[in-house]
Amino acid sequence: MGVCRYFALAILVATATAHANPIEVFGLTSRRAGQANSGVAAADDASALYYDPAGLVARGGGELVLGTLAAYSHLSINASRASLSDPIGFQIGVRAHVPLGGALADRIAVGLGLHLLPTLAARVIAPAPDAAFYPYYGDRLSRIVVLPGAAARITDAFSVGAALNVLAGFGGTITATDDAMGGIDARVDEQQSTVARLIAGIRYTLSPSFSLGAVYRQRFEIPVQATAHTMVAGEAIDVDVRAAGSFTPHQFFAGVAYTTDALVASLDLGYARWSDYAGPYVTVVSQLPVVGAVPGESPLVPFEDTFTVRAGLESAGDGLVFRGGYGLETAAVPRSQSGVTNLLDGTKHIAAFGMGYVWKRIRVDAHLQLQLVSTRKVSKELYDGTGEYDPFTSLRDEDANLDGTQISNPGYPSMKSGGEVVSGGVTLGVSL
Amino acid sequence: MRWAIVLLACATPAHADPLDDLGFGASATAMANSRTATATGAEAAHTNPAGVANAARPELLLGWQFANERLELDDHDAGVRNAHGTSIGFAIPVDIANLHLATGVALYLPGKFLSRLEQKPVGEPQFVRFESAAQRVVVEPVAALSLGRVAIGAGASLIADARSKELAVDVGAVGDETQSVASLDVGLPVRAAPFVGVWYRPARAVELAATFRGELALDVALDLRTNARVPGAVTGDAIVSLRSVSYFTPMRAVAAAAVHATDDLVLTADIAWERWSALGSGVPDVRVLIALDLAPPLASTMQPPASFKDIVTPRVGAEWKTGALRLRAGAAYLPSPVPPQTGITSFADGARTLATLGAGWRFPPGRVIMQPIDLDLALGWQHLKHEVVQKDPGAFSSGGDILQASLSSTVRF
Repeated sequence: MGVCRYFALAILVATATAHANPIEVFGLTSRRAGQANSGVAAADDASALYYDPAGLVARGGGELVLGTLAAYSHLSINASRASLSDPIGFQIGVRAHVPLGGALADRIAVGLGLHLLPTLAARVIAPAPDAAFYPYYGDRLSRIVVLPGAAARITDAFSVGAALNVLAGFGGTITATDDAMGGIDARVDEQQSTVARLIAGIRYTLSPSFSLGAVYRQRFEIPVQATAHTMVAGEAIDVDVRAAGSFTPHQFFAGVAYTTDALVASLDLGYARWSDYAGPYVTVVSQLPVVGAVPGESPLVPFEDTFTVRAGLESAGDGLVFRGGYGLETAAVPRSQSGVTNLLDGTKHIAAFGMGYVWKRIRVDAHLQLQLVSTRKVSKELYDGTGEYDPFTSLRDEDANLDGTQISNPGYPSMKSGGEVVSGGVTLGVSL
Repeated sequence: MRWAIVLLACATPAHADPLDDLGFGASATAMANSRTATATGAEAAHTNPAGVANAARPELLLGWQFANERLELDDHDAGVRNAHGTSIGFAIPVDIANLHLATGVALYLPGKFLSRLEQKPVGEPQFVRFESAAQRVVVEPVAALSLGRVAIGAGASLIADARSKELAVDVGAVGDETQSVASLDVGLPVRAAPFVGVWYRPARAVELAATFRGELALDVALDLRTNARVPGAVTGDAIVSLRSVSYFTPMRAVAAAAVHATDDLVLTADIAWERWSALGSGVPDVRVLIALDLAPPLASTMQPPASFKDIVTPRVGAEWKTGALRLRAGAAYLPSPVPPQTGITSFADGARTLATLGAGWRFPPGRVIMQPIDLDLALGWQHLKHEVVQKDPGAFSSGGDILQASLSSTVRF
């Protein structure tokens, strides 16, 4: 009986297309978010789990960090506002040195970073191919993040570290058959499997004032395939689903930090290989009664690699501290989308400001961050019948039996996007 | 042509919290999980949240457990998969003003899966409480306050449901082709069961404790809409509504005591009450209703209520210290909540007896290790009583053994 196959299908699809993580978008802790998410060579607290795990061992002691983060979207889709799916999150970070002495004293540190949502473990939004959608934001806030990690100081100047980006995939089978009594015998075996990918970093201290850092974040995705062969009263209902969710491209960031008694300045350069991304869509191929085989190929979107530059500045010492930063990130979504898709994106300018107060073992930090997404206009083109039809490059008449051109694509004839995303947060830190 | 409306509901078998069986850390496993009154620090994040506040320093517990499921149905291997997983716990005490506060988390990550939903046909003999029992993640954040001879703690046991807002497949004709596209908006909302504990030391040699954990289950609620608009072929909607309940973890209350008979020997006892009677249906419950022009309607099948009964589980343990060495042993009697299987269901279960032993070594602070580090090992044996269930017609037998091993280390910072 095919209906139970739908059960498997539904869960597979549901867990398949979550995207990257909210830390990438809005930062981990107010200290880093208040510097426009910069700090590959400067992060020396629990936030190093994401920015550069080698930084876990950059400073003695340890800390417990508790924070909250909220964001508001003023992004537009023509005259409408695109809201964020889950704009509130909570962050927890723990860092501690392993209590070793002698030659190993202060040389190994461990940590755990968490981004949690108030009511969700994850929410997945995978749009239809013609839906207007900001893939950079989309459901990127709607996922918990778990980052366990460790670092070791190899020499006084050189450290290495690694963390894992942990999530879950889903797969399995369901078999259901109608029995002689007209009921159903169902057999279900679905699993949420663990998915873990590497974040690895190095840190080199050139001098008491200069540090260099580099981090590699492994591509993360959950490929999913589900094939269902069902029979309802002699009629076949087959469904084949393929998706690659939770995609984060290979990323490489390098940074430099300059430290004095009065301030810490950092500069990061980054590269993300978005060109590997197959897109956020769910592909469904089905076999239905009467209709027969129904293809469901999604449009192939030529995503583009992105480049990032980020700079941050923070005052040092106890008492009141200030920080600020600026970042620039190119767009992964191609500017030209004359076909079915309406993926929205643009060059992002990030401006951030923050302040905090440090008192004995306790510090409180707050920040505001503005992400300005440049304005774009997407215009559609009609398929002229020449060559093989490519849904990414043009639209075609949906009903040739009617007069004129019948097109329901919401981006036709054009669509305008861009706007701002404002985020802010507060972080409380306690030295251990 | 309106071609299908389908309602479907599934309820997979019941399972308790996997750590209730496997133990959180080898010390707990070695004492048959009879540690409610003595657990402190990271270990207490699962055992008794109040004990988290009894940690003097930040602690990290790392452990690995393995269970060899040697269960049989009709004298053949029942196919219950072996279970293994990693335990991670930490406790962070913080002194603010004159208050000794602490926070902690207990995590259990199954080796292969974070969760596993498994159901078999109703009438097929199956170990309803073991099939996937150890295949779910456990997340338990807690906070605690110590007031000297009394400590209290509270937290939650978390699990994620699955619920759809939109799950749609559109099949239609574009030009001369029939194509399908899909879109979805599905959330995994977190469900929490309260978890509270109290610890009290009325005398130097006596510790008393109690815990309570609410009922928890993983619910799935998905609605899949298939909309077909293929002129001349098929036009209509198919709606699949799924409601399922799995990983039922009953409400649980534990009372415990520990007596330090000598400075080196502690004896413990736990008694737990588990409210299995709240389980609605312990069987795969599938109901299907089809209104389909292409086929006759298919009647649904209703499953009988589980009718499980509440159980009381006694556990005892002992720990003897000599220098850095710790030797532990424990025993428990684990009754079955499953009623006699005289009807359509064929749940295999039975009373279990549990015997455990273990050893630990505390590496003292020195030139390299600045804080003590514990390394603990435990072995356990559960025997599931062999039973023959007579049905009309037929019969089936069940029984077997579960062998457990656990290794863990506790590091203090």
